[in-house]
Amino acid sequence: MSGTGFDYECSSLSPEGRIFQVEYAEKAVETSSTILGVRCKNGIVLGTEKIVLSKMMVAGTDKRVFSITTTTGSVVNGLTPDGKSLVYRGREEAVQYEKMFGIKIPIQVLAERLAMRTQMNTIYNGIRPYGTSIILAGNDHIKGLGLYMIEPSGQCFEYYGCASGRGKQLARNEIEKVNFREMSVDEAIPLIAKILLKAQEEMKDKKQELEISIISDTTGYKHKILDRVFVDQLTLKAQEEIENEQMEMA
Amino acid sequence: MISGQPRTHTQVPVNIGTSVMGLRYKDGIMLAADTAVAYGSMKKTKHAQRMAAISSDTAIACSGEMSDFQELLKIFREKHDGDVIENDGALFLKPTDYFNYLSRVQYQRRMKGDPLWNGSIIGGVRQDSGDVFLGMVDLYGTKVEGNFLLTGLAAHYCQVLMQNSWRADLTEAEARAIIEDCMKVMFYRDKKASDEIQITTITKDQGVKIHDPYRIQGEWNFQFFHDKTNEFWRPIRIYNN
Repeated sequence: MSGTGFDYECSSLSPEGRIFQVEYAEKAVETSSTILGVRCKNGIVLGTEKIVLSKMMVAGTDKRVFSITTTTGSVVNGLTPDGKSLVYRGREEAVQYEKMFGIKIPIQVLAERLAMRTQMNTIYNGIRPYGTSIILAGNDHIKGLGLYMIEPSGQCFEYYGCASGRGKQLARNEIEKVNFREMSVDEAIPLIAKILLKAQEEMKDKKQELEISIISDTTGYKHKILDRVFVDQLTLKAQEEIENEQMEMA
Repeated sequence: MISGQPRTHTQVPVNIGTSVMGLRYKDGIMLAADTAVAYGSMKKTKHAQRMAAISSDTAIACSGEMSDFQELLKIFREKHDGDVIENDGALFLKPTDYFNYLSRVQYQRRMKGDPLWNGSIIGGVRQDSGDVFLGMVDLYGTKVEGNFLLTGLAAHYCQVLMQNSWRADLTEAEARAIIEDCMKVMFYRDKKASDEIQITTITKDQGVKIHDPYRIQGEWNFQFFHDKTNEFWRPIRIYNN
């Protein structure tokens, strides 16, 4: 598929009208861990699964869920350092916006600014596109709750539920099946843990970790990363349930 | 602005809050201030809050320019939010960190010739170790730590009163009584002080608690005020009597 000579930089299109560098960046995202965000009745849940890379790595140091402001959360996949760089940029934008206008940055503005930044990286020679997808969730005083996803191409949409990464298809199907919008955040969390674990089925012999964060009325619409003890218990429970389901199927 | 001169803002304070006080007691820290803000000698408002929580375990009370106090709060809020965000909801910055940071900000602004015109008292009780902290920073960035601290005119009028009545094992009621005593003295002597005061307590159990403002009762019912004033002053006021 690689076009001869057209995949070295993203400043030129191929004759078929494709930008290979962007497609490669998307590839980096597609093969990485699943991330998802779901909008519920009273808030938003963000989550990701990840494979523990090495037995000697300290648990919890491979972070993918970040706060951008106190009321805005994000989860990244793909090349996580790229994701982090975007998150830091987001923090700067948020602080700068608040200094200039005296109000908190609306989540839509933040998402669009980060998307513009991502898009910039797809048109210049000498810089490469971000190899990361980022899901933003936040609450602002203008439109209330908002859930956005930005992809390496700079594409940015608002969602009721979205997923990216290797379990993207499965996660999306599962999200569409369950009516999360009628469900509270607390009810949704165990389901999301299950979806995340199912989405990485082929990796299940390796050690898995989940990261989940919420924004809801119970947290005062502040972004709260759930603590590891709670999430680990949740993971074990979800794994058991999945196994039971498979036993019944067989 | 004078052309050729660097840009400066507060060269003279305008909306002024008068003295604030802070003291250690058995359970933690007590900060106190009255609620008046003066514009020159006029009381612009008698119901302003001059203290605020910086984090769950740190609070500040400010005398001096009130707009600068609001600016300080903005600076602290940014610092605090950044702390929360970078540590995934945990608090890294402790009362002493906010205190040292304030002193650096004040010193930097003073060296710019553009000071934040405040005398601030920061108090805090660490929720993990229970360490109690009380410190004061003036508009030059000077740091002072102590068991009881006073800014402004109170540093002159109430120093001895505090020295004589402060003990390490004061109960909350006793600490409050001392504060009220000092506040009463300030109300009698300082034209910019008012009799409505507000207290913030910081304890290990309850964290920062900003109490509602209330009025202290001054004693004005002296015979002298009732009938003697005119007679007393007549020989001095009226010539050739």
